[in-house]
Amino acid sequence: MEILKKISENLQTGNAPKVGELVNKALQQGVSPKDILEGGLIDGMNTIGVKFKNNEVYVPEVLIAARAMHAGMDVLKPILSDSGVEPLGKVIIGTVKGDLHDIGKNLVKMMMEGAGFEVIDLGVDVAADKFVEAVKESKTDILAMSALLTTTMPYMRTVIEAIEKAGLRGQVKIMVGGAPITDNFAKEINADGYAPDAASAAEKCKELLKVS
Amino acid sequence: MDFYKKLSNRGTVLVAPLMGLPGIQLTKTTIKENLENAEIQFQTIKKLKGKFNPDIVFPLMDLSVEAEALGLKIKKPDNESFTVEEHPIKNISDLKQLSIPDPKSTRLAVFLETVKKMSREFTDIPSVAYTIGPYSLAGLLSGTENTAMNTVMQPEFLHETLKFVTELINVYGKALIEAGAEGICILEPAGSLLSPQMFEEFSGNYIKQLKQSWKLPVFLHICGNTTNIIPKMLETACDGLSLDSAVDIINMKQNIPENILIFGNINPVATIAYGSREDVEREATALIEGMRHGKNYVLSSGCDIPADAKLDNIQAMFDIAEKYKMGE
Ligand code: B1M
Repeated sequence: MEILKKISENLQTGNAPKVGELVNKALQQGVSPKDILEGGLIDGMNTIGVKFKNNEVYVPEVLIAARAMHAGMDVLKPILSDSGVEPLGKVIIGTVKGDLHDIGKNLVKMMMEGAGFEVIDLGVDVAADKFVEAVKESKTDILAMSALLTTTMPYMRTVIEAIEKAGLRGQVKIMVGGAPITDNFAKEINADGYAPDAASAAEKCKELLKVS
Repeated sequence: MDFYKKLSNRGTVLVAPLMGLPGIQLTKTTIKENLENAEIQFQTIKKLKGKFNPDIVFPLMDLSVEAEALGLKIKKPDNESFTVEEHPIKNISDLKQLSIPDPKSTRLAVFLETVKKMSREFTDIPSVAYTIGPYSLAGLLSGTENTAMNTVMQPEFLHETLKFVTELINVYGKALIEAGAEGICILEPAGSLLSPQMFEEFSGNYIKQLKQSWKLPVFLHICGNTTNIIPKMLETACDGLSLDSAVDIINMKQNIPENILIFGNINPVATIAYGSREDVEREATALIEGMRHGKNYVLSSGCDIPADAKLDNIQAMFDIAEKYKMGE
């Protein structure tokens, strides 16, 4: 559909006002919210994700595309929930305590949203008890942690132990990522998954929940 | 004496890790004490020099000191690097509130004093000072994420910010030179977030101005994977590139002219700080072997070595280099 293609293209070039406008227009034309999400917003984000992986676009462009996606989501979200389109699952994400790096985490969050997950962002410098509380508060499928410092990555283990202690480990999948994190480290600390970049993080979520 | 003259007396297998922080293990001091007191920092560097005999010495790395000089709020833990707490410069009128201070009246004075002591005392090897790079400093003023987006959304504001911070870095660099620095290494960690064109426009062109102004050897260090921007880093006319462990420098050396020094690039964290001695020996050997045909190579860490790194692993770099020196 022409208008979905336009949404995807404007998202990729980061034209936030235009994306919001086009999403509204598509709704008026009677396109279903689900099609707008999948054929427009998610399609655009996926394309950006692949281009980022291949060094065809860089961090600034991805951040700007993410902003445009949010502009589209702001219009779409209330309608999506009214029309009964269920998110694939609920993710709680945060950068661990002592760590202020959030650019990577924000990209991961956006790709997850783009893939159809509901994501709750706890921000940066998040302590274990805050993660535990958030998981307790509402039904969470995945707990996602990011760390960019070698000094803060061990804290991921602390969070996982706190989740275990609170008796929540059985009901939530845990995934980790960030530049210094490796697959081995993830296994060592008893996480369920690791992803090297934002696009694969969204894929990993689907894999962990066996949805697609 | 000048940088190259001193280096030419040091043989062919040069070693200069970006090590300042681990020195606090030798002086039993805190990071905070070193970043606030020139005498303490100088003693830390002196101990490092005495223990390892490097071919170039650097001060401790501190990416917050220029931002502090501009009045930003800094968090100063006892034993972690200082960080900038708030990034309040959102538009031109915020920017206009800032002014360039006299470096001596700010914490920049700690580094001026440290470099002065270094260059006086260490007559055998060059003392190279650090400054932050313009794009990274702009990131601290306005927030890294905003600044990245501003390369596309508000390039005029970003250029105004860059002009201003470049002037501060220029003034600070000149004061470092006056204090005795024989080279300056510009630290531009956020440079690797940019595409080659963006890097040229928002970082490289400003670094080129600094190089022209300072008229002494200038090196450029960028953390992360810089493979794609190396040609643009070379266009800054800097005299050397310090490349992080994500770059395959053995493969890239053919693209770097022989008059440009290449510093690199053992993984400072996985290998040097927390790896085994054998890991360091293996990587150092591979690098020296792989880089041999260039006389322009300096064995170093890919980036700053963490404070709690095993000192014996740092020693291993020097031991391997020594082995090659003996063989010559
Ligand atoms: C849950 O599942 C998942 C799955 C995948 C996940 C995931 C979670 N999270 C991330 N991913 C993955 O997907 C993302 C997209 O593909 C990727 O995310 P990344 O985050 O890796 O990638 C981002 C898209 C882009 N990359 C980044 O955003 C990081 C870039 C660099 C330049 C960087 C930045 C920007 C900053 N820094 Co900092 N910084 C550096 C970085 C050096 C470099 N060039 O890499 C790094 C990470 N910093 C470092 C350091 C030491 C520090 N920093 C500090 C501060 C800062 C700024 C505030 C200035 C700024 C952060 C701004 C912000 N809002 O995030 C200080 C610490 C502050 C703190 N307590 O956290 C300070 C201590 C001070 C200093 N020396 O600079 C180094 C870490 C060394 C180490 N290994 O421990 C560093 C490598 C630079 C260096 N060598 O000095 C993947 O890792």
